[in-house]
Amino acid sequence: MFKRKEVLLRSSVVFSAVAALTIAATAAAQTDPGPRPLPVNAGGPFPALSPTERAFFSSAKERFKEVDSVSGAVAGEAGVGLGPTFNTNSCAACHAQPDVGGTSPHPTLGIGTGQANNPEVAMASLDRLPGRNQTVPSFVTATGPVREARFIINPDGSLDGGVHGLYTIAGRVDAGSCNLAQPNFAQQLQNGNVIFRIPTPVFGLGLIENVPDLALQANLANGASTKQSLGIFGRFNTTGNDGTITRFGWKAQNKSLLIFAGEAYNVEQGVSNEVFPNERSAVPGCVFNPTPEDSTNLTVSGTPASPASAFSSDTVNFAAFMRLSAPPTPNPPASGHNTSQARGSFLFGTDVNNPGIGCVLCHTRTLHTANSPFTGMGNTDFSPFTDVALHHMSFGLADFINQGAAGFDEFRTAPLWGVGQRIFFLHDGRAGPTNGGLLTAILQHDSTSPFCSPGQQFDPFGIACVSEATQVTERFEALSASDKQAILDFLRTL
Amino acid sequence: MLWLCTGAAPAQSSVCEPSAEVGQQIESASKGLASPTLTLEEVIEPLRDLRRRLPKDLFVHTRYQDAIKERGVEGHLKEMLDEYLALKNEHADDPFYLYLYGRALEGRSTPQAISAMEEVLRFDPNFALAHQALAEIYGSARFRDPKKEKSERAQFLAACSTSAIPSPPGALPPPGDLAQAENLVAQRNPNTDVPELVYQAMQRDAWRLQRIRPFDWYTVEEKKQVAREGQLKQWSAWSLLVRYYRNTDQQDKASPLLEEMQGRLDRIQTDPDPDLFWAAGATLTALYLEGNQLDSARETLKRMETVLVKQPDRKRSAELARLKAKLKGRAAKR
Repeated sequence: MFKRKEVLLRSSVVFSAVAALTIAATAAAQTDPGPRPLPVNAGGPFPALSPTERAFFSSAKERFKEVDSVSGAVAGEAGVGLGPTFNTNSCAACHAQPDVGGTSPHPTLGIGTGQANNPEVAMASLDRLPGRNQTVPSFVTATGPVREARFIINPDGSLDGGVHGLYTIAGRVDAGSCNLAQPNFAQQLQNGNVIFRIPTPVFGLGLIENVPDLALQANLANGASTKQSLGIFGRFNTTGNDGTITRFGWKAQNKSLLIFAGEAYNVEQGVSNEVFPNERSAVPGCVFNPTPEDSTNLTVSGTPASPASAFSSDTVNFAAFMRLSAPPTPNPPASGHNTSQARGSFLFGTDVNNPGIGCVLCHTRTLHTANSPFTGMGNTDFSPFTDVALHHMSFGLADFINQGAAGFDEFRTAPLWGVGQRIFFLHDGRAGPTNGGLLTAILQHDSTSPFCSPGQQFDPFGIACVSEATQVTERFEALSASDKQAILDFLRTL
Repeated sequence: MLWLCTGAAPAQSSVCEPSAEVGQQIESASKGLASPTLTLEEVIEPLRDLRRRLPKDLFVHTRYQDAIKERGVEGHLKEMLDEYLALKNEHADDPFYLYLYGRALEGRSTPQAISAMEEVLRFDPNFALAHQALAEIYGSARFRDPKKEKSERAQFLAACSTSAIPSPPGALPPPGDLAQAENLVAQRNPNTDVPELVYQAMQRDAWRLQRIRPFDWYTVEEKKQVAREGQLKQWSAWSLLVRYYRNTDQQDKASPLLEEMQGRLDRIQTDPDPDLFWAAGATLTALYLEGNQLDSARETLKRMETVLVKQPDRKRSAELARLKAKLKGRAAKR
């Protein structure tokens, strides 16, 4: 079965590349205006927080910026637990644009903390002994998106799906006994066995965390007939433990911000923690710390600005930073839209009763939180532009990874808040400044599986024969050039 | 004491020390341990092999354990502990394996090691090596109990009068030494060994930390202190490299390193330990002054001053004044 899948994967890579080129060639009439320049539209605390909560947020944000080394003994890298495998050494390195907590930076298009090279490039040589640099994988470039790599299948043909760190600590000055080799990415790429994910921005996620399941279910059910007439269905990813909706990550695979933080800390930096307590790739000579490497601090020194932060583990701090952060601020606000932006907003759709071309049917504008222990965050409307549901995107976007209930081609509707200052789009960052950016991202929503016979709903691999977004994307393609531009202009206000 | 010497052993070890023949085999299998270039995995294999051949010789096991404690990092130590836990569970009520498990715990989870040794002695009050282990533990700085140490030592020596109690923990490797590199740089010697010498020193410091970190012979504070000393020394090490690269016209290497140092200084400005920031700031300022990068020196001094205002300190004030005077002198020369 998986030999056949390998063939499929190779065709997937070719298919995507060809599609992107075609799109770039035909999209000249409209242009993504590009990331909005200063001012930075995100990164602060939720505005209504109390002073104590703000202090917690600020300290947690500092912790989010902490840089890790193997045992915390490298100057300027006091965090403990890097590796054995890792992608970068700090949360803030990748979550950078347009501020700490955002997404992939860019050396010229980025703003604020996001004006930087892809930090993954430097990891090949950072703190390495002379002659012990590792290889920067070909899919990581200074001006490209931050990427994690997942392998689709294991050597024995079973499904893999896990993250494979770009680097190992072997050759670092603080990891003398480690000889763990880097994965052979060149070979895996040649086999068509690698997919990528880019970092998702974490601003405002406390609000998404606090939307009741019932509200999400009601939102998905709202306007069902309109949605279904356009081929849109959607379903939620859920946890096998209590059956509730999971909502964070590209496939909505993580239940809570704490789990999200713990998983990322372990996978991206190799730091075991109280949520994911076991070391990955635990070759004995590469394990330097007791596990979990990050845990609750039982004592603190001095008088910290936020005792809650000081006593808490890094992971809890990361979750607190995400939870207490403000959502991105649109600019200009809807009341200040120019003609094109206002037209774009209308075409995007405002709700199921005024769906425009239908984008809003998945990219729900407004959700409402439950009561919250944090000041001002309860019982409030917010605008994430997502329904948090999974949708089949068909072959063009399929990454052949299962996560929870999410299948090969299912992805959570990406929240569009903050998209105005983002540089790379889609789960693998395939859309960016070099190939049309947002416009390419929109057009990639339209996809079909080449392995379907007429009348089939799913291909032999469980991939939808037609993307749930195909009809809406076709509507977009049918718009006049100025209307398409209007939608792009509107999106860049978010 | 049949359990000490049964199996396919070519010679019988006593309760106190290995037989001459086993001792020779242990010595031969341990030869690689002295080589700093071989990995633990490489050097441990002959001892593993010997253990396979003499599975019931206690001293083969203890040498194997000691080798891992001498050369292993956390992962190796954990693996070894798991191994002896499994053996203990496989051979329930056998003091031979209980002792070995307790010994694997020594220095790692020493209170549990004490319990294990006490249990061994409940099984067999004449198990001399359990007394030896307890004497060793009670003689350590961290678990010192002179009365118990004396008692355990006496009981051990009663059975093994010619043997000794090892002194815990083993001596630490020396910290990395930058002196030779410092001399070469001071003499503006273009010797290409300088980077190698600097990195060797940094590696030695990292290794020193790994000889402390996995063991509960040391307190958390002691471990933090050694890590901090390592961090402080890295600033000196990097500054030597910058000077060396400048002396040898390798600006392409000096500049990125200086930039990296600046980035790290930015990170530690809010560090609760002002000593670290201060040392780093002073190091960086000196490098900027030497390189006539006066604006950068001025900027760094300003930031040091900010820290000083928050946490006044007479010694630091004097150092700041000295650096400011140097800056003034350099600026006047321009």
